[in-house]
Amino acid sequence: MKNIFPLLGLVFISFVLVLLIFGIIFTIIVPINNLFQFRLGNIITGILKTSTVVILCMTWIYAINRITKFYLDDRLKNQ
Amino acid sequence: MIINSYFNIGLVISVITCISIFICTKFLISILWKFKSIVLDYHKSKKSFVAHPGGPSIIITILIAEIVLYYFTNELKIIAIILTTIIAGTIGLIDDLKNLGGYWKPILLLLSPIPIIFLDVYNPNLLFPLFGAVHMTIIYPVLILIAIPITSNTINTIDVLNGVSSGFTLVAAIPLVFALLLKGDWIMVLATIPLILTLTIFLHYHKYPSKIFPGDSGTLSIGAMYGAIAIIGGVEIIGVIALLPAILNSFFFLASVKRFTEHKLIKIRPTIVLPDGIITAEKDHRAPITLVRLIVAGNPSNEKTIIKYMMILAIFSSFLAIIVSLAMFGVAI
Repeated sequence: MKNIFPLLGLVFISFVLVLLIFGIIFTIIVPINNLFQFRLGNIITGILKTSTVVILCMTWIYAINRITKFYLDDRLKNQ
Repeated sequence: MIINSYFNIGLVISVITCISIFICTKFLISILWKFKSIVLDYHKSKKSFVAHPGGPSIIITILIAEIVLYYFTNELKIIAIILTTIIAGTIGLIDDLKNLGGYWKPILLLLSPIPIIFLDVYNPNLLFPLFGAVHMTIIYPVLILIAIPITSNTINTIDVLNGVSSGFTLVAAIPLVFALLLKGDWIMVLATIPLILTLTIFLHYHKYPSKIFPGDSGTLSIGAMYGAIAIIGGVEIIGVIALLPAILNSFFFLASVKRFTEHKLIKIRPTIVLPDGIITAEKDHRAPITLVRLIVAGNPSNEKTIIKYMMILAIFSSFLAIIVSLAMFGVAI
């Protein structure tokens, strides 16, 4: 049972991050309408929304990747 | 009275599913051995061969049970589930017979969610715990188009050890039924019964030591059906959480390999099977990261122990999914 608890922790962290990040994306960012009053406001809002979604998704990917690589390197050193 | 009739329908499709999967799988094993359609079980110390693919028995059983369910309920949702499962299963069968390659499989799988979109059997209101609901008329069909290939490929990628893909999906399907029961969606509860019973009986033949492997036809069809139930039943988030360890496995693999490819085409395998049957992690940093490699890293284990670890992870994520479904739908009781 040596590796099971860190892996359960990894599943739990990704669960929390999935709820948080995708909750923010779908319930806060996606429903945002035009933020600006001028003509090209819709396009700028779209770009801002897309980049925020990409940044949040990349945060999830980066966080999970870092944790996994750290865990794997640590375990392989002791193998 | 309504519950009573639903109970009777449930009983009928349960009996049909159990008989069908039992007969089909037993018959298929003997047919596959007769035609030498067998593959090497990589994780055994002694050379052993297993019948492959078991997908046709899964597809036929689900088809029969869901058609019977449609006969009783007349619900378009059931037709959408049948078509999605059959399209994914057919793509898997083609892949089993004639290797499709890393890119073609996910591209072709984009066809499988089309029945859900065209039959308009989804609800574009996505419900999030803590955050509430959001209405997504335009984005939601696009998400469906991506979601079914993801669930199918996820189950396909986790199919590395004896009984894992069928056991994992079986455990992950329990929170789906629980959430659908909390929602009071009896039609979708009935639609999930064939999946659960098919997996339960197929697991009897697929568990360690396997008598049959589901193959791509089996894993893609059960993955597509799982995704279709989660989307049509409006329990998408529950489905994602219950499947999280398998999703992470696909993510680790894609992030480390950086392209769509078949497991068999990987030059450096993530794990090494020692002569005594013990599985150990590959130390080469170019080897793909998988859930099995993470389990055996610094902790070489036999196949049975790794399967047990994977099932613990599946039970844990399903437990989290049940808690979330209580938070989302529990108040409605």
